[in-house]
Amino acid sequence: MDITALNEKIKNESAFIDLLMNEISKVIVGQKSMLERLVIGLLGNGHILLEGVPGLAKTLAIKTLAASMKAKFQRIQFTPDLLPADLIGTQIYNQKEGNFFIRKGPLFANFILADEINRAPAKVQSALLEAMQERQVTIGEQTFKLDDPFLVLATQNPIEQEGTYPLPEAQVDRFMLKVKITYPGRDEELNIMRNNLSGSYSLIQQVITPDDIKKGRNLVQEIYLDEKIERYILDIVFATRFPKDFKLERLVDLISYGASPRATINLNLAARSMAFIKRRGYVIPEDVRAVAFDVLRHRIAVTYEAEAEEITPEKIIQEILNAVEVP
Amino acid sequence: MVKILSILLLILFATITNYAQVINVKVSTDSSRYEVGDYINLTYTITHDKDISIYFPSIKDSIKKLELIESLPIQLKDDGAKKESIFKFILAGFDSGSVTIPAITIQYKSNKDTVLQGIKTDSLTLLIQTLPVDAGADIMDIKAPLTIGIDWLFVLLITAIVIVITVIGYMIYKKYFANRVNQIEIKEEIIKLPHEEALELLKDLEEKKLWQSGKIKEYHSEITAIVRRYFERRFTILALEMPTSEILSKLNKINDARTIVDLTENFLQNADMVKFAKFMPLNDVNFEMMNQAYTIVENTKEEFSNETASEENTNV
Repeated sequence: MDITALNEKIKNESAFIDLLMNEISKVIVGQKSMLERLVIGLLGNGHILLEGVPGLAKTLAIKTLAASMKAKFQRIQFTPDLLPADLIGTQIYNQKEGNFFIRKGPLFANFILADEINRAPAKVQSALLEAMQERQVTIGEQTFKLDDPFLVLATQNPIEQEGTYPLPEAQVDRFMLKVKITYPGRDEELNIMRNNLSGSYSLIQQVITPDDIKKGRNLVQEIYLDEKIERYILDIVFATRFPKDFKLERLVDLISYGASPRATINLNLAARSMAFIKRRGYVIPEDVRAVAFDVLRHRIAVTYEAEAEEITPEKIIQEILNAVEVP
Repeated sequence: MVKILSILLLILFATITNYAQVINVKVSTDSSRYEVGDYINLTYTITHDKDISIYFPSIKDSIKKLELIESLPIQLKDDGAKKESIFKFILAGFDSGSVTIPAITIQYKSNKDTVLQGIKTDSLTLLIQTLPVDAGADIMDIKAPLTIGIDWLFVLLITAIVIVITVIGYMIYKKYFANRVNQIEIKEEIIKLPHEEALELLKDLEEKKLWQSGKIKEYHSEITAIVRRYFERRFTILALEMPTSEILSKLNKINDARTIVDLTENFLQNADMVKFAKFMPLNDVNFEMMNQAYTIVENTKEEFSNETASEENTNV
């Protein structure tokens, strides 16, 4: 397809993104970056790991997102005594009829907020992550497809370490993005305070349908991503693995292991989604850089030396972006 | 009578035959007096018939007070009828006093015979004494270590080696290092100011006539690379590692660059469309891109005095 026509098409078809953003911003003050990442997760058919201190409107954001497209939302608080059956559902014996019937768990929804995922033991995390990957759940002998769109927004408690079961690296890798939420600015917080006390939050209207998201996903695949951008993505990912090749000798001792091929795929997908959000039919380096931190931060493991020097994956990503030449 | 005579003759013949198998052993040392640590040359000389094989025993266990320094190779002499086997050993004694090298039994066997026979050597008594000390003599200093005289041949050899190494080193230096020094000097000479370099590269690009030959994407990539490299050197920003929006944001914060921000925005965004969106610009746009690049460089070039220029060259 001609690029001008594609650009025009994307411009028209992506209009629902603005509708969605405007609707959500009636309730959520600020946190534009988080909302954009939520949409990227939806368009990229991925899941999001969210990290931030409590009270930053994580639950409200996803609840609002669900309401704005009239989708089903479930919040699951992960606790140490949670069992896989509490998530996926179980077979229950019906004494009256003398047979088993299936009671589906809270995973059967479009939007799942898995709160404090690192509080649950490995078997529960594993059940959730398997459902995320396969998009289906097996109860007894029956397999059920999960709803579409299916977006898991998992939060990790970054403060407490005691009584938590940190997610293994292989499982963290399954999240498309890891988004860090920071505190709102002064003006934003002023608005939050006023809105909250006056109770003047608007009622969320349905502005899009799940079908819009599915249609959006197909359009994201059509967005043009030039070979130069592909090579730029590869350079960034390879720099996390072989920093020496990019004149980043300093990082050699700081990176324990670099980003996986899933990072390359997700960086591509997230950059396309970002271009879609920006209502462009092609990807530019800005799109890649905008999502690079969210795609890579949970896929780079730092060494003990780096931890001792208080060097975070974000600092490493920043150094890589400063060193890799933009096409 | 004849019978008795025959028996006597037989006994006589047997005796003569036996007597023919002669073997003699002689044991000797080069002296009977030694000083502590002196080498004692011990020799066993065995003279025997040709058809006799000798089995010499190990003497190590026999010479208890002495130490076996070395067993020399066996010497064999043959004068036709007889054979002489000479076994030589070098011993040393480290305790003073009388030492006896005991008799040992050397075994031998005739080729005609299967029985192993033995012949015993004599024992030898030696005297090992300490150095004689003249108690009446003056006490003297400890002797200085022996000095070895200068070996002029060795000195000459070393001198020759040193000369050869020096010559080779000089040749290597002249061939590689001296050239490198020259290269560095040449490099210093060709360092140009950011705008000089950019203008020269733009001129080169113009002469390549890339867009005229259909290589539009390459043309836009190269022209933006030149301008971004110029920004990197001129304003000390990581322009080559920044996307368009970040470059513009940086330029907005630099006083000398504010005048060209809008032009640069237009220039870089046009190029981005070509590079990343398969956009095919009109020839006029391609032509205009070159003009814009020249304008960006010309309008922001730094005025250098000769002093500053030479200072920069030195720093580089």
